[in-house]
Amino acid sequence: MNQRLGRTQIIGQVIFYAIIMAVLGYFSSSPEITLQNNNDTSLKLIIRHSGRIEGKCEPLSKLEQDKLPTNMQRLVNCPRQKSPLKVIISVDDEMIYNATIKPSGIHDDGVLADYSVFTLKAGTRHIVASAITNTHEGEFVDRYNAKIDVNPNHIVVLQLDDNGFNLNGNNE
Amino acid sequence: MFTHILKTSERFLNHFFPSKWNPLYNLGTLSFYLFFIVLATGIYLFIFFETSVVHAYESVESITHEQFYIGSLIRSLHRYASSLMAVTVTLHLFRELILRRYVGARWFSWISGIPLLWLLFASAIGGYWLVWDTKAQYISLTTAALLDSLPIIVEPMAQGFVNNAAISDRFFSLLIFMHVGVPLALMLGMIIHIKRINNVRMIPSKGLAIGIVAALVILSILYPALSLQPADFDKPLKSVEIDWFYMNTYPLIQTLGPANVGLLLLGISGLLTIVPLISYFLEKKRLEPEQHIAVVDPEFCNGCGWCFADCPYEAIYMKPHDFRKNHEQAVVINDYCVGCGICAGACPSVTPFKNFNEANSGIDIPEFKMSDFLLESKKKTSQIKSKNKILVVGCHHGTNLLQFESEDTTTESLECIGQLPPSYMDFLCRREGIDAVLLTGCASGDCYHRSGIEIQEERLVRLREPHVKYADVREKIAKVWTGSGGEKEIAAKIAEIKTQLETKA
Repeated sequence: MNQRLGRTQIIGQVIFYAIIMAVLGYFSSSPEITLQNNNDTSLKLIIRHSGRIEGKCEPLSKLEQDKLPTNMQRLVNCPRQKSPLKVIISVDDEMIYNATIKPSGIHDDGVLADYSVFTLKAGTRHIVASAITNTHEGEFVDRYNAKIDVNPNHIVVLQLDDNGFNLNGNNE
Repeated sequence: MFTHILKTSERFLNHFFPSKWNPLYNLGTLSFYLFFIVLATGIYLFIFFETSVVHAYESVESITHEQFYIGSLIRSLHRYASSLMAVTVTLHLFRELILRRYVGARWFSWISGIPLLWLLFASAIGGYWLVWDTKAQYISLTTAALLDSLPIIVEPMAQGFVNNAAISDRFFSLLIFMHVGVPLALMLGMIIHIKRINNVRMIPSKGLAIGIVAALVILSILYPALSLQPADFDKPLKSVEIDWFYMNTYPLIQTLGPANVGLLLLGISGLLTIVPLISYFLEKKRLEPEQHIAVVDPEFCNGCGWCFADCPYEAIYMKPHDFRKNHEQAVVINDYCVGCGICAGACPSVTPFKNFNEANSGIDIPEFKMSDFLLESKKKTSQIKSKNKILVVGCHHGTNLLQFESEDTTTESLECIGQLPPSYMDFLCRREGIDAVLLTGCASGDCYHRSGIEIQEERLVRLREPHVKYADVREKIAKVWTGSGGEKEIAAKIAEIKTQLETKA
């Protein structure tokens, strides 16, 4: 059935659609949100460490070996659990990160990972970082200590992996 | 309060839109329609999009600026149609919530709709991600932070966006897979969402359809969608323009933290999902009557299939008759039936002309039999002593009709106007002396039971069986579809009828 519209209806519909257009047009890109001051940049901390086995391997007695299935015969029993990793990071003597990262996995035998983002002010910054693991073999420590020039237009990435700390970006 | 606000808004728009064009009555339909627009424009964009870190941004710029005659239009239509879909879906959710269209068997439509919110959100975010501008950069970092807050994530996804070197073309393959796969899942979900309802409208009435497309096209021409600066993960983002229709929670992630926002969103979704359950327990406490279910009487069911055709909730199917050879018989699926009674209105067996004292229906609502309704109507009309007798029939979801009872007017109310058998109007007018019948109920285009008004109107003009049989009876029937709060219109219509009757006399 064809609808014949009166003038009021036509004007009303035009206004309605104009409002729809205005709302769509405006809110599809406004208002803008501010994420960071112009004089700041971001320090991204990425931790991805294989971890270290916490306990030591113990030899199995003959009796214990006999109890094992044929396909699982072995001379020593090595634990799977890895040690947690304590990481401390400070910038200009102010601690920004202090966490003990636990190994992933049900048996605590997976990778140790974390990711954090911090705000860094532009200028010269003194970054001190340490990562400590305690195992049966003793304490393992990775350290990082450097002064860097922070450029507000470049991100600083501090990575911790099996090779220790590595800071890249932002040397320009 | 919310119902009042909603009804006021609907009545306001009814001044400018014919009822069937009212956008607030067509929110679900508009959502489907906009999805089709997004799908069609998306297919075009997909043809020219390059899935690589280096070329993704360039390909979108090429579509926008080098194909300016159509590329920019298609891209902008794609964006604005999806943004408008966010609006219609949200309004549709709130409207169905306010009007309690989740009770009884309608729980399925409600609960199946909640996951669609997530799929719609994921589809839209995926689309913005593909452009690979600073908005996409913001989406990458914030979405990764949100997902990283899930306890099942071992290695933070955000590591994948630490700098430009960390991102490869494989990520784009994943993105395009997601942006095709998730909308397909959304489409499947939408089909499931409408599974238990009949005669679904996926395209709105012509006027509304044209108006929406015209508005989107004009907006796309006047204010085309443009990319921001190319994404550069080596540089920090100082500020960014976001789409507030889909990314409205993203600024919250920065202020409240991703875990808190994730919990908030999951909590809201969970709460919305259990709305029918909450309603069920609340209603039990208020001792409201249980939902009525239609029951088939095989003795009077001749297998015509009219109730099957009319049921708005696909709650009826036909099977071989229990004892009549070569006949079918209706069967009610109790879990789908909401007790609207439209099936009873469709049954030809209920005609009072055969045997008034035994107006047995092949299908009926036991708690509200049509034979009882007829008896009640007959009794009330016999009590009218005035010269002119007017019968007003409405529904429980429209305007309360008791206020219109007078010396020459009596009223009846049904669960749905579609429940009124046309043969009753024939009988009451021809045998009981009714001079005029006024049908009223929900607003046109907004029947609480989806298609009661449409079905009854078609019965009146012989487009649907059963129909009003006698031409002189058809002339006595008037209709005014107002919804609740239509006192003025109904009073005016009754006055008009009375004037016509006086003139005729």
